[in-house]
Order: sequence, then C-alpha cells, then structure tokens
Amino acid sequence: MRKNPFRKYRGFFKGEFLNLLAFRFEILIWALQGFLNIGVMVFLWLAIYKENGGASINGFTYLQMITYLVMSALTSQWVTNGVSFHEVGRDISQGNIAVSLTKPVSYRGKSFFSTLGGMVGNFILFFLPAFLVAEAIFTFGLGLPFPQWSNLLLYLVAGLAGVVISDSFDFLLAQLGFVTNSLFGIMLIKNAIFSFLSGGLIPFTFFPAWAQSFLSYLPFSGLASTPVNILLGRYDLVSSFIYLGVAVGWAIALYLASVFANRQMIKHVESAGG
Amino acid sequence: MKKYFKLYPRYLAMAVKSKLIYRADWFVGLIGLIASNAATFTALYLATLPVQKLGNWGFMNIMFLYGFLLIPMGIDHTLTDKLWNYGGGLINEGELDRILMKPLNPLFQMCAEFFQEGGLGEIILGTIFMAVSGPSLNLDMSFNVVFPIVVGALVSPLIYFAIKLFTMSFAFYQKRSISLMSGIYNMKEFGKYPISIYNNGSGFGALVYNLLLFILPFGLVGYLPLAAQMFPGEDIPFLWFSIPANSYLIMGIIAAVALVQFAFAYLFFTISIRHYSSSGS
Repeated sequence: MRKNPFRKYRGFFKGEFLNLLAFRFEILIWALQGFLNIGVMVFLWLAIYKENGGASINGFTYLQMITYLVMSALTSQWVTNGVSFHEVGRDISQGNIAVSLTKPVSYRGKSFFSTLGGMVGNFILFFLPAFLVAEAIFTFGLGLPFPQWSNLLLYLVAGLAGVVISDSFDFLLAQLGFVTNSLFGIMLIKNAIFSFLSGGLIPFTFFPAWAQSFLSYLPFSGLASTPVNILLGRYDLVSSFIYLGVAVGWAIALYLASVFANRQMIKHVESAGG
Repeated sequence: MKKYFKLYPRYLAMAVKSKLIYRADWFVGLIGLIASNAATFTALYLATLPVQKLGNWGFMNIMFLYGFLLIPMGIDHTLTDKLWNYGGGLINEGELDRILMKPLNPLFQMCAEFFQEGGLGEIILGTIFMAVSGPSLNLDMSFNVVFPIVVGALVSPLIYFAIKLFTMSFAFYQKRSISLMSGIYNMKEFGKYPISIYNNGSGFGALVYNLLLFILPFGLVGYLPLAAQMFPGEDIPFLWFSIPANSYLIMGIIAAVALVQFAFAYLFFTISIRHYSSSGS
C-alpha cells in the first residue's frame, strides 16, 4: 500500500493552525487595523463623490466602491497572510536553514503547508464572521444584492489561487535574506507592490488605460482584483473564467518557480557543521 | 543635561556607523518607506484624478500637504524607532538590564542607540513632493508665515514620539505591546489627507476631526499650519468654534499639544518602567 505523500506535512498544517488559535487575540488586533484604513477610505471617498455630485466614477457608485474596498480588505486577511516570508527569511538570515534541511521533508512543502494551516485558521476565525457581518450590512442595511452562489464558489477558487501566488512570491522574496538582513525593508516594498498592483488600494478601472490593459494579466491581480470583482459580479461569466485561468496559471508557474528556488537555495547553503 | 548634549552626537554617530556596515541593508531600508508612501500617494492621485479637488484642496495642495507631513514623520522615524523593538518583546530579552546599569536616562539610551535609515527616505520623498507641488501653489512665503511653520514642523515629531512612547510603555505590564502600538500609531494615516474631509457636517465626522487635533493629533502636524498658509483669511473649524488663520497662533497650539502629550507619555513611561523586573539573565 502506498503511503499518502501529504501525510508528513499534516503536522505543519495543524501546527500553524493551532498557532493561530493560540494567538487569536493578538492577531485580531492586527486584523482590526485593516479596518482603520477602511475608516479613512469611507471619508475620503465620501469627499470625492461629493465633489462629483454623487454620480458614479469609473463604473463605481459610492456604495459599490466601499463594498469593493471592504471585500478586498477582507480577502487580503486570508489570501496574503502566509508565513513563508517571515519563516523562510528568518531561517535564511539567522542560519537556521541548515537544521531545517536535515529533516526528511521538502523545505518548500513545509512552508507551504504551514501557510495553508494559517490560511484555514484566518478564514474560519476572522474572514468568515467579518464577511457575514459585512454582507448583512450591505444586503439588509444598504440594499445591495447578495453575491450569487456561483460567484461565491468562483471567488473561493480565485482566492485559493491567490494564496498560492502570494505564498510563492513570499518564498521567492525570502531568498533575498541571503543578501540583506533588512527583511523589514523588503516586506515594506513587497506590501507596497502587492497592495497597489493587486487593485487592493484602488480598483483597476481608475488606472490609466495603458495600465489597465495589462494589470489584469499580472500575477498580482489574483490577490485582490480578480477574486473581489468575481465576488461582486462585476465580471460576466466568460471574463470570470478568463481571469480565473490567468490566476491559476500564475499560481502554478510561481509555485514551480518557488520549488526551483528551493533547489537552488539548498545548493547555496554552506553549513559550518556546528 | 549638558552631558546629554555631548553624548547624543556620539551615540548617533555610533548608530549610523553600525548601520552602514551593511550597505545593502541601508539601501533596502531607505527604499522601503519610500515605496510604501509612493504606493499610498499614487492611489490617492488616481482616486482624486476624476474630481481634481477635495473641497478647497486642489490636487497640488494635497500633494504639498503629504510631502510636508512626511518630514516630521521621517524625523521621528529616524531617531526613535528602536521603541518598536522594545514594544515587540525586547524588554523580556534582558536588553533593559544593560541599559539600567548605566548612569544615563533609560529613554535617552533606548532611542539614541538606534538609527532608522528608512526615515531619511521619507524626508527625501517629502522634499521631492513639496518641490514638485510648491511652485504651482502661489504660497505666502513671508517670514511671519514660514518661520512659525518651520518651528511647528520641528516640534511636531514629538507628537509621533509621544504616541509611540505611551503605547510602548504598556509592554512593562504585558510583556509585548507592539499590536497596540501599531494600532494607535497607524491612525497617522488619517492625517495624510486634508482633515477637513472628516468634518463633513455629521456629528461623528466632527468628532473624528477634533480627535485628530487633540487626542491623536496627526491632523495638527500638517493640516493646520498649511491650511493657514494656503487659505489666508479663512477661519479654521476648531472644537465648537473656529480660529483665524494665524500662523503664530497655530504654532502655539502645536507646541502646546505636542509638549503636553510628550509630558504625559514620559510620565507614564517613568511610572511603568518601575514595574520592570529583570529576568536575571
């Protein structure tokens, strides 16, 4: 009988999930900070729409804009909260990597399953309750339509592709730990690029036309723009599947790239044998 | 006191040198804060592009405000950022034992030992924003307007410092306070826009507006002095009344709020640090 190859990774999955449960209050405070920014955005966009006399701008009414920003903040809570960047970066710059390599598991597999464990925890503990409250307010309080079931399903698939994209990027960027100790600086640059080019800060329709034509085809769009636009029913079925295909394609390509980087990294590590 | 003025440059030189050992780190740190501010600002640019203005504030005014604000923020970042590490658990690692052994003010040592090069990135970006937007604004550059603004900008890093210090001090009771620190500190994002957008006629908006002037006075740093410079003769709403656009008056308000906040934070810090007991390591 063949053994299930994923069996040995179950521990990492469970470990990160329990880790999240243990630190839930601390993480909740971090999660609430995302909503501070929503507070700013509510006022900022109100002022912008007031200038415009309340008409819709670039295909968004005021309420649609707030819905978009709230949903992209909620999405990032479970999609871009992987552990690969911090764990791998720390392992590399502090030299713990040699110890990790002695274990009979793939190092990339370990970090990926840890991320998945954290993702499931984030999804259940923070995303789901907040999503239900937000949808209750949008549907019953503000009279916006509840997302269609098919769109909810496609949203989950797109979000999962986003998790793989984000985690693979994290793993690749963590390799910079070989050349710099300033992982905080790398993280700031990464977050700036992720939040801006993913359409998380502002929808793609506000970008200039030349940028719009290719932004949806970059891997970053899978982190916010693609799942949120699908969820809110802003894409018809055909374009939903096109952008979903783009996201899944990038997810596969970037995961393979991270596996390749893992191999190169192992060659690069020189252990002093201590 | 004289001792501290003599020691501070030496401490700072040491901190800068220890950072310059790793040139790549220096460069990455510098780019980090530039990148995150550039992303926020570009998003703001794209958002206001269809309407071009928010009330009185044209896009160039908003850009000037953003750039101006980055400078006090960057000064604070550069000089006092070690507090984040103390809030993030450094206190438990025995670092404080070393500091309390020396016959110097502990807060002085905690801050002077570290130099955050990322703050320089903010100062550079802020200067660029002001240089780009300033010429098209037709600003009043007379001495009686510019002098109080510069004094205010030099005092206002104390506001950021005080808020970090106050929230960090909870770490003496709870071991870690970094999530509280960053939660309160990140309210600074509210101050990056002309805070008149919060004062939109609703009671809640007026509350947010005044909170940003007194309790978490991030709006005080940039909005108040620049509103007086850009729109002379227009009264500025303030609590339940309004104040004339007088730069010296505003300098006085900034100095008073910054000093009171810092005094409170420092008092809390000195009370809290007595709770510290060494782990014995």
